[in-house]
Amino acid sequence: MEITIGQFTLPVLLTVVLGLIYSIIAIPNRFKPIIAVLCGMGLAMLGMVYAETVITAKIVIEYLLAGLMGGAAAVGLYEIQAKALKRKKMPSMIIVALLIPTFLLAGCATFGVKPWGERTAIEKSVFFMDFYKSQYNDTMAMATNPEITEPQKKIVREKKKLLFNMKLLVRSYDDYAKGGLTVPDGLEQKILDLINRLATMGG
Amino acid sequence: MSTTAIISAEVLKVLIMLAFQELKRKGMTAEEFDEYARTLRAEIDDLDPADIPAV
Repeated sequence: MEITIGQFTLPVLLTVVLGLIYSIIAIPNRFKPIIAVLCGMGLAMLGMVYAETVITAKIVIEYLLAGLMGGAAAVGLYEIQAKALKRKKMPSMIIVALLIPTFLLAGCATFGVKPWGERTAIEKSVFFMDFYKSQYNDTMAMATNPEITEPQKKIVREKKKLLFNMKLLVRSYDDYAKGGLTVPDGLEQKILDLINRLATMGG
Repeated sequence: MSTTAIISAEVLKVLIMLAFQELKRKGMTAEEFDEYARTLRAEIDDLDPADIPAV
């Protein structure tokens, strides 16, 4: 499992661009998804020409599929945004409004950064330690908040349990990484699983 | 605030945090990166989950 939040940049950019196009040109609804998917595939082809020095059929297919999925995701995002605006549901609009710059920022941040699979053990270790530190600080801030709510208390209890495990694994990983030793199979995956749990169960 | 809203806010926070960390590390030289790793190690040792108050 790789953490590549930058991969969501294409659908988000497309959503913004498509929103602009659809507001300027009147396009029948049934053609909108097709246009989005075609735009996604077109952008993916441009990306391929820019990024690849040797272009094979396999690479073309991979980029086309990525573009297709990006276009499809953009359709989904656009629909959510359109529904939220139509119903004037403020919380949904706020979430969409926050998601767009977040993914753009994430995309910019990961542009030019080594893919996860190409990172050295020490680079991965620093990422894990950074993540642990931020999660620890976050949990501590929540736990010491005098106005903590019941749902937040539940999150703190869960996060605390996970942080105990995470600290042991992260320190162990770092010992291997800084010593130049081979990291045992499965250790990285265990940490990534914990990161996924921490990030999705409420931090 | 509902649990869903808290979780959404937390997920957003994690994504923003990851993005900022990437930006921060991208601009470092090899020496700065080593120094950053050393500082982080020392900090992590002091961050014991047992210190988080029970709620």
